[in-house]
This record gives sequence, C-alpha cells and structure tokens, in this order.
Amino acid sequence: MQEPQGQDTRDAGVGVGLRHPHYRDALERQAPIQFVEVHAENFYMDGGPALSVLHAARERFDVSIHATSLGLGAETRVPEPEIRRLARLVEAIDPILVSDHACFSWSGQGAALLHGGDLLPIAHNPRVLEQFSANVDRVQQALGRQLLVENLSAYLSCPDSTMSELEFLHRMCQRTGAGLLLDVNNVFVNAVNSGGADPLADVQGVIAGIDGDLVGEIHLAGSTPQADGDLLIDDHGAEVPEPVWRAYEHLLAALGPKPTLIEWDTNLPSWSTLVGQARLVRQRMGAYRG
Amino acid sequence: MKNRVVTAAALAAVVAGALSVAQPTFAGDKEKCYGIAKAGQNDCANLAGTHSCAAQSTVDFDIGEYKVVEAGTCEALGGYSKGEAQKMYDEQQVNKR
Amino acid sequence: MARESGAPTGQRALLEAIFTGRPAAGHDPRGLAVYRRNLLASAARALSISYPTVTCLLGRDRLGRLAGDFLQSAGRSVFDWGLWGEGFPVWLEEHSLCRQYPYLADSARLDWLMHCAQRAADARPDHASFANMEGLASLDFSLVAAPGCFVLESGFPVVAIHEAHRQDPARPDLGVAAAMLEAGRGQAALVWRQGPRTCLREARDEERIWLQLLNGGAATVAEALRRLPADSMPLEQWLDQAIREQLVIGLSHSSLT
Repeated sequence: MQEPQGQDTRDAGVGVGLRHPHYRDALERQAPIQFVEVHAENFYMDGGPALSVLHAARERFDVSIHATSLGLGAETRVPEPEIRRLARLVEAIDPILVSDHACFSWSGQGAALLHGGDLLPIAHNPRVLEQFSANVDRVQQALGRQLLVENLSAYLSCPDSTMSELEFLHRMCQRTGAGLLLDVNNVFVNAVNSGGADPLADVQGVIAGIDGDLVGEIHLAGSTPQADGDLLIDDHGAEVPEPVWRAYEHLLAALGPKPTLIEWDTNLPSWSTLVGQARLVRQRMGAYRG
Repeated sequence: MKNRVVTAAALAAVVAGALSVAQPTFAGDKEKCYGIAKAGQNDCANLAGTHSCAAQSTVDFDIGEYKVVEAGTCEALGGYSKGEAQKMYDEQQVNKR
Repeated sequence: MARESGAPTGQRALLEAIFTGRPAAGHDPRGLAVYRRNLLASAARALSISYPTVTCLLGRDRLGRLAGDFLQSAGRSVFDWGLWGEGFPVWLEEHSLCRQYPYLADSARLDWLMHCAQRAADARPDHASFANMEGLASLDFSLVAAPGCFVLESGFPVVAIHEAHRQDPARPDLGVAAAMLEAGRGQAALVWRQGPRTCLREARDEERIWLQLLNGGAATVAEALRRLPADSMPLEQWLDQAIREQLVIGLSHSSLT
C-alpha cells in the first residue's frame, strides 16, 4: 500500500469544533485559535449558505475536516460515491487535517443498505483489520493525502476481538500510512464505563502504549453521566473534566505538542466559553513546549 | 394579447431595464450566510446523555435560532383534535334531544 | 464469526437490534439502549431541521415521536442525515394525523423543497448572456432558472402557512392562513434561491406558462408564446420582475453555447 505524506505537527495548533450557533462569532470575533474542525457531512451540499460559511471560516482559520459516516470498519467496501463526496469537500477546502473513526456505521448494499448514523464498535481482530485497512487505503488514494483515524468511545464490547483497539490502530497505521486522532475523552469514557477502580490510571496506561509519531491530532471534550443509568455518555456536552486534563498533560509530556481540538456538540456554551477551553489547551501546551 | 408580437429586441430593452436595478446577491456574500444557513444534521457526539436534543436550538428559518412551541400550532390553525371532535359530537347529541 | 443461515450476524445483527429496539444475543442491553436513543434523537433532529414548518405545526414532541415511527418504516439508506427523510411527506400523507390536519403532507413537501433549494449549487446571474439577446433573430432561446427553482401546486394555503411560521416561529400569526384554509383556498408555491437566500412566494395563475418555461415544461420562449393561455401576463412584464427577483438568472440559446 502507498505511504502517504505524514501531516506536519511541529507547529501544533489549537482548535475548536465549529458548530452552527457559533457561525457569526467565529466569523466576526477574534479568537486565539489556529483551526476549526467541522463534520464533513454537514458540508456535503452542492452550494448555498452553509458551504459559504465554511469558505469564509477558511479565510480566517485553518480547517480540519472530521468525517462521521464512512464506517471504515464495515464488512464490505465503502461505496465509491461516499468517498467522492469527502474528496470533493477536501478539494474545495484544502484542510490541514482529515479524519474519521475506528468504527462501522452501515451494512449491506443497494436497497439493503442500512446506515445507523452512528459510530458503532468493531471487533479488533486480523480479519477486521484487513477490511478496515483496505477501506482506509481507498480513501487515502481518493484524497491523495493521509487520513487520521480516531479511537472510539463504545458502549458495547465485541466478543470477537483478539487485540486491543490501540494495537489494532497501530497495525492499521503501519499498513496504510494513516495517522491517529487520539481522543483522550473517549479513552476516559471507556475507562469509566468499564468499571475500573482508577479510570485515570487506566487512561495513562493506554497513553503509555501509544506510538507518538503516529498521532496527528488530539481531541478533548466533556461527557455527561446518564440521568437514568450508570454509564458515562460521550455527548461532548460539558467542559473538559479534570481527569482528561491530567491525561492530556501526561500526553504532552510524553509526545510533545500535537494539534489539539476542543469538541463541544450538545448543550453548547457561548463562543467565549468555548474559546476559553482552547486557551487552557494553549497554556498547557506552552508549559510543555520545552 | 395572444397575437401581440414579441421580439427579441423588445425583450432586450426590458432586460436592460431590469438588470440596471437588479442587485445580484451571491452565495459568496459571506456576512449574510451565517444568519440563514441551516444547522448541521450530522454529529459524532452521542445525543443520549442527560441533555435532550429538544434543549438545542436546531430548527431555523432565516432569522436564526429559536425554540419551537412544544405543543405545535396545528390546533390553532384548524382541523380537529380528537378531543374537539368528541366535543362536537357530544354537542350534536345534546342538540338532537 | 459463526454464520447461521437466515438470521443476520455480526454487524448487521447489531444494526438491526439498534433500529428495532429488540434485544441482540451477546450484547449488553444498556449499551444497545444508548445507541438506540442516539439514533432516535438524531432522526428527530434531522427531521426538525429538514422540516421546520411541520415541526412548528406538530410541536417538537410529536415530531420526535413521528421521526421514530418514520425511521422504523423507512429505514436509513443514506450516509448524510441531511439527505435522510425525502420520503417523509408521502409517509405522512398516510398517517392518521393527516386526517385531522390534511395540509401537513403538502407543508412537508414545501419544507423539503426549501431544504433542497438551500443545498443547491450556487449559480451567479449571467448578465452577459442577456446582452446577446438583442442580436437574436428569433425567440428560440430559453431562460435559465435560479438554483432550487420549483413550483409546488397544493390544494392548501401552503405558502401562507409557511410564511406565518417563518416570520415568528414561536408565536405565528395564523389568521390569514386559517381564513384561507376555512375558505378551501389552495396555493401554488414558488421556491428559488436568490444568492444564498431561499425565497418563497405564491405563484400566480397568470405566470404559469412562464414558470413552466423555467421548469422545463416548454423548451423555448417561442414555444411558450405559441401555447400562451389568454389570461397570461405579458412576457415583458413578467421577465422584468423575474430578473429583478433573480428568479431568471440567464438566457440560453443553442447559438450562444
């Protein structure tokens, strides 16, 4: 498989997710951020005002394109038109980063295609690794650039797994030349939901095993405990919690600065609160820049 | 009217007049777009947390963000709810006696 | 992975469990519930954005429940939530709600047209193409319609209903729309994009032939003139207005291309 060019992380920027209620603020106010990240599918339209907003944002900031629907871990090949939609957007926006998730989302073909509109867990074993890598390779060929793949927050485990998610992702990156989008919050949510006595220690255990050269971006976000259950839900609906900051500092010490994004999607705060979270990232990065 | 002759030259004069006052707006007028763009419908956050999706402003017309009336406006606009239909039926029964 | 004949396995089984809410062997029901709730919430959000008028008419709670029922019936075969729900108006038409509120399905059709118009490809008005008109010997040219241009004929006052909610979604003034409903008045809705802005107005009977020209019902201006109904607006008058409101953005002629 072809070895795409790695994404340059020496000048690590700080970014925030750009969501609809913040369009005006993002385009009119000053913010100490280098990039904004958007969900690819929200800009798959042929034209119109939403796409214009993204082009306007591109004039102020670097843009990262975060796809949510390819379902790279599907049992069959990702349909060509879906890859082309992403490629068209990437071509138009010239983003600094392009990513999707270590998940599956859909099954079947033609009339039998069923897309769950979600990031669903995959088994981590050699057979899925084969399929996943083939899909990543096709996407990278179509984009002509590297794809980052994000680790998942998952509420179900797959009994067919024979290796950890991290090992799966490392092997996939080696085969395809893809990079890692390390979502620290997802590691934390999984650690809490698996019921370990010390989730932060579990997170740090995962981080210790990461090949830093593969990491092209880091995601930080908040989560919310279920009102009627005992799971922690990865709703990107709160400030980054203290254990995730601790883990992030640990990461900075181990890997050095990487482009880092604050993701906030539900229960959205004001733009200044969101940017305030980015400022906290910048402070921590500064402390570890050597 | 049907037999009135329309010529390209006459139309050209009309077009020239219309173009002189038409102020084209393009999708490239960025400052106008954030107020009218619809919200994104795709996400990578799980919406099943404590915040119901209803708490988010996700619907908008040209004016941007707003909260929809929970009950809906159908009843006010017309048509009959089951309750209303039952009431009308009951009144008719009373009137028949 | 073990494959039994007939029953779906692996990823398919998980997807179907999430869509149906039925338990799946080997999967924690708590985890399944998290994914199912996200699916239903995403479906409700998607429809509320694609169908804002219907959302106002029904209220968010009812729309949310309908979204779940529609998802169950229609499934989901697109990757983008923004493209999901095209079949909602037809499905709604068969729903018992439409017996109480028969204008719901056409209101939904109009919402979807507006949704699609907002997503349509940008097109700049091509003033240069008009300049060539003077040199044309015949009227064998056609008019180029704005992006998203479409006419929806309805037996209900769909434009009035839509406009009332668009002006004040929280407290719409429904007087005009209710009176028209009461009187059994229908409306033809004309949708198009003016630059980034999606426009809506009532299409008048006397401009019908010209709108057909825009929507491909007549090939050329000359052909439309041959079929001109007696009560039509004169072309000069209509074209003047259509260019001003950017409903017509250019002229195309085989000799110009």
